[in-house]
Order: sequence, then structure tokens, then C-alpha cells
Amino acid sequence: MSEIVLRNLSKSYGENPVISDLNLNIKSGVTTCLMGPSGCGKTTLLRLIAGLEKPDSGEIMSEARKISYVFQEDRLSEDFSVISNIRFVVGKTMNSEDIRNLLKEFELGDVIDKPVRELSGGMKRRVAIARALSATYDLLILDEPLKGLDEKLKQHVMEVIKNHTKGKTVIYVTHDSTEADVMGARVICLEKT
Amino acid sequence: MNKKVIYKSISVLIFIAIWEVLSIIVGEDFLLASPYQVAKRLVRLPFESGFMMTSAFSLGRIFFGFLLAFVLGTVLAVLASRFHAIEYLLWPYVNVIKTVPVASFIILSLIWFSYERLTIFIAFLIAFPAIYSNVLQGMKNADSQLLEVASLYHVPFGRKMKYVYLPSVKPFLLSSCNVAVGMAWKAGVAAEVIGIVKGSIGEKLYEAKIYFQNADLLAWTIVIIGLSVISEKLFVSLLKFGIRRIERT
Repeated sequence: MSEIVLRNLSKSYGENPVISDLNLNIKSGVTTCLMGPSGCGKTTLLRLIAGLEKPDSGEIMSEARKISYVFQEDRLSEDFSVISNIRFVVGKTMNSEDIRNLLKEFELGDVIDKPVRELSGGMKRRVAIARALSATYDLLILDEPLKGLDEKLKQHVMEVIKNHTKGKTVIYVTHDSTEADVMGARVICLEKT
Repeated sequence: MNKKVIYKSISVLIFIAIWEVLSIIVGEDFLLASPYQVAKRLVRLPFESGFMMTSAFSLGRIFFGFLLAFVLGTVLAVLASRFHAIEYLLWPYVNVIKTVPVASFIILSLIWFSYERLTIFIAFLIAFPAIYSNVLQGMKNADSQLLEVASLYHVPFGRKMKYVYLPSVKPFLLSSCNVAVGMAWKAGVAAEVIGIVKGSIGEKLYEAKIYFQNADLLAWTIVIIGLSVISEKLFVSLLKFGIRRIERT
């Protein structure tokens, strides 16, 4: 279990402050939804928590050693097949059968061996989510994971994510309050600094 | 037949027509043989004793030099992209090799090496900077977002090479090989001519020059072009096949 405590956290890009003196507790074992207007620093906050950026001041206390992340962009290796993109992250720690079953849950069973460049935008998004779920993690970060999916798929994918993340620490960024409801998440609203 | 083939064929026909006209104007076979005379010589050449040996001699050495450049250039570029010290240490050498005229290297090599190694060394020297610089550029152009994913999941270097760097290096590597094989042939044969390397195509060109056998000179030149194109296409096809195999595993 990994609680995340943010104390007096500040981050700016040049003269532009993105996060100012933020204090926040993210509970372990539950899903926390971060909501707020565009430009309020949600993605920056996720990147700070993931250790991809350093804060200007303040501290982040986290027990999470292994972090899995669905970025706003798909970030897939386009020349490689769907299953290879999962292997990129998990190596040989997960057997092919389990990967195939996971991909089938995302309705990607027919395209497992296809190169990612041949997939639709919605399929690529689901591969990116499946890749994050296939990894071993203490903390799962989802930055607008359902962006670009149609309503029917959104419902289905949310159910799959929910099933796979029961009892796990998840931070979920969305603009859609219904996603937070379906995920049964604790909601934190951020405001622009 | 597609337009590309038609235009290329027209271009070749125009070249042959100009050549024929020039050879008629010059009127001396030893100065400029006609396309017909060269074609006749070219048809006979493969049946002459020593043709296969001569071709294999030059092909083997030039291609071995290129292969050395391919392996060393790729390995050093990968290392240079990881350790900047290696890139900075190699920078002066690569730039000197790029700018110094190939004739200077050939003459220096004639002092340093045996005739047999001359072709290998010169082919290596000419192909190396092209492959090294291109592979390094490809490594530097790797998708930074994918590299961030790799660092987040602590992906080992071998796997990063396959999934992040290979897609980025692939176009650079293929285009550099396309160019470098041809360059290795040009420089390799030049070295053979200057060094009068026994048993080589370069020696045949030299003999054709001193005995005023213009048809021989041009026929051997066509053989060089043929061998260069075949070795380039073969190597690049094999490389593409190898990369596809890696992508599918």
C-alpha cells in the first residue's frame, strides 16, 4: 500500500507558475480522481509524482516504487505488434497467454499480432491502457485515459480498468465527472494558480 | 510498365545515343569506343579466364572493408550515443576522414600496408564515417516520449535498443548503407588502380589505360557498376529482412 503525501509543492516553467504551494494526501488502495480546468497543472502534478520532473520546492513522500502510467499520448512503438508493445514494458515476466487474455478484455483479440501503425486511434488508446495494466505497479497513473474513445467503448474500458485496479492505488485525471462516478473514485478538484 | 521504369529507360537510351554520336565524332576506338564495341567486349568478358577470380578478388575485399565499417560504425555510434565522451573523442577522427582526399589515404596506405589489405582499408575508411554519422543521428532522433516510458518501467538497454532505437535508426542505417556501398566501391577500385593491386579489377583498368584498350576500360567499368549495385541491393535487402525478423520476434 502506498500513500502519497505532497507538501508545499511548487513547480513553474520559466516565469509561468503551474503548481503553487500544493498540499495533498492521496490515499492508498483507492482511486483518486484529479479534476480541474485545462492548464491547472494536473499533468504536471502526475509527472512530479511519477518522478519524471523535479519540483522547484516542496516534497513528495511516496512509498510507491513501481509506477505504471497511461500518458495523454499513446506512446507506442508503431512498427511493432500489439503484443510486442506489451513485451516492451513487461519483458518475459508475463506469459503470452496472460497478455493475450488481457488484450481480449480490451477487445483487441483480433489485432494482437498486428503492427500498431495499422490500428485505429481508439485501438491504440486501449493498447496503451493494457500496457500500463500489464506492468507490476504500486501506483497506477492514468492521464485522461479514455480520450478519443466513443461512449460505448468508454463504459467497457472503464469496467476493465476498475476490475484490474481493485484495492490498488490509482490516480486518474479526467474532465468528465461521470468517469469519476463509474470508477467510484474520491475526487480532488484543482484550481488554476 | 510504370512511369518510373519508362523514364529511367529513356534516360539510359539518351545516354547511349549521346555516347554513340561522340564515338563517331571522335572516330578513334582507343580514345572512345562505341557502345557496340563495349557491349561486345562485355559479353565476352565473363568467359575469359580470370574474370571470376578478378571480380571475386575486388568484391571480397571491398565488401569486407564495407562490412568492417558497418559493424564498427554501428557499434561505435551506439556507444557514442550512450557515452558522450566517446562521441567527442571520435569527432576529430571522423571529421578528418570525411575531409581528407581519398588519394592521400591511398598513398599513405601504400606505405603502411600490403597491397592485399589496401583495398579493405580504403573501403573501410570511406564507408565508416557515413555509417557512424548516420547511426549516431538515428540514435539521437529516438522518440523521447518512448524513452521516458522506458525509463519509467526500468526497461533494460537491449529492449530499449529493439523498441525505441531500432525504429529511429532504421531509415538512417538503410540510407547510409545505400550510399556507403557505392562509396566503398568507388574508393576501393581507385585504391586498386593507384596501387596496381595484382589480380584486382583496378589492375585491369590500369592495364586497359596503358594499352589504350578503351573498350576494355569501359566494359570493366560496367562490371564495377553491376557488382556495386548487386552488392548494395543484396546487403540492403538482407538488412531489411534482419530488421523485420527482429521486429517480429
